[in-house]
Amino acid sequence: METIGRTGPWVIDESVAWVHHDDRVVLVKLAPPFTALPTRLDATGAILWSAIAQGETLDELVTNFEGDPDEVRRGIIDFVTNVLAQGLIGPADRS
Amino acid sequence: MTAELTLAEATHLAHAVAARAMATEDIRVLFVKGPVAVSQGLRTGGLSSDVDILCDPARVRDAVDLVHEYGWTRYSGEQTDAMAIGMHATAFTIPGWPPTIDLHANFPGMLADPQSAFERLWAAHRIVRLAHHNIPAPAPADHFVILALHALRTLAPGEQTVAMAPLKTAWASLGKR
Repeated sequence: METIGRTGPWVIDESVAWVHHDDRVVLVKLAPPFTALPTRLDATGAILWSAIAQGETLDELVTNFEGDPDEVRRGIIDFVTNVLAQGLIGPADRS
Repeated sequence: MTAELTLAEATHLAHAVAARAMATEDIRVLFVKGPVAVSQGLRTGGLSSDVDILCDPARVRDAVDLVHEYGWTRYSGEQTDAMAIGMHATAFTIPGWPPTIDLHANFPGMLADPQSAFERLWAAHRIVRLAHHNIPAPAPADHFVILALHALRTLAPGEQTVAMAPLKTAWASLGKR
């Protein structure tokens, strides 16, 4: 069963700085001692990140990709689970 | 994965990193030149390799101590512009990041005492967005003056036309043609 945290929408955590150039996103979490090196998201990751930033839900994210919907959905859930675990995004309805 | 950064990406992100770092200790800073000036329409989008910060003069020592505490390293590379850095600024790098972060206590050419000048700039400061973060910056007209001081300081014989061209662009953007 999908939890609310996995169905979106989500928000980019306010501690994350990020830039989107061409087909990639580069991001870094802003936290002391501020020496973290940035992380790069290419292609699919960059598309997902940008769509998440625009407030798309899981169902909406799936429509961005071609292929077997269930497989696409699983891939997106993996991505979202990963970035949620890293504190890079959070549920949009959190206060 | 760890990214290989383009200079533009790194410089934008480093502005956000530095802004947040200073905010953790409530140190007032204004970001000048580079992509901040581009964001305000005062410069066209050339590559910038550093982050220029004008710090509250009363907190410069705190700012230097803070970045040392974080493990940022004093920059002493050959590309340091001795004239730009001189006695009024200190350059740092975040380990592994390409941009230098120049922490200025004042800018040559500001004739008011540094604290008064900073307070004046701070009173009118604006927020620009870089890397999806709030970056404090001088008001555009004030920023133009800083850009002009910087350009005039580095003038050498025969370079006047080159140095003035970006200023004309900045001036035009202020609607004071």
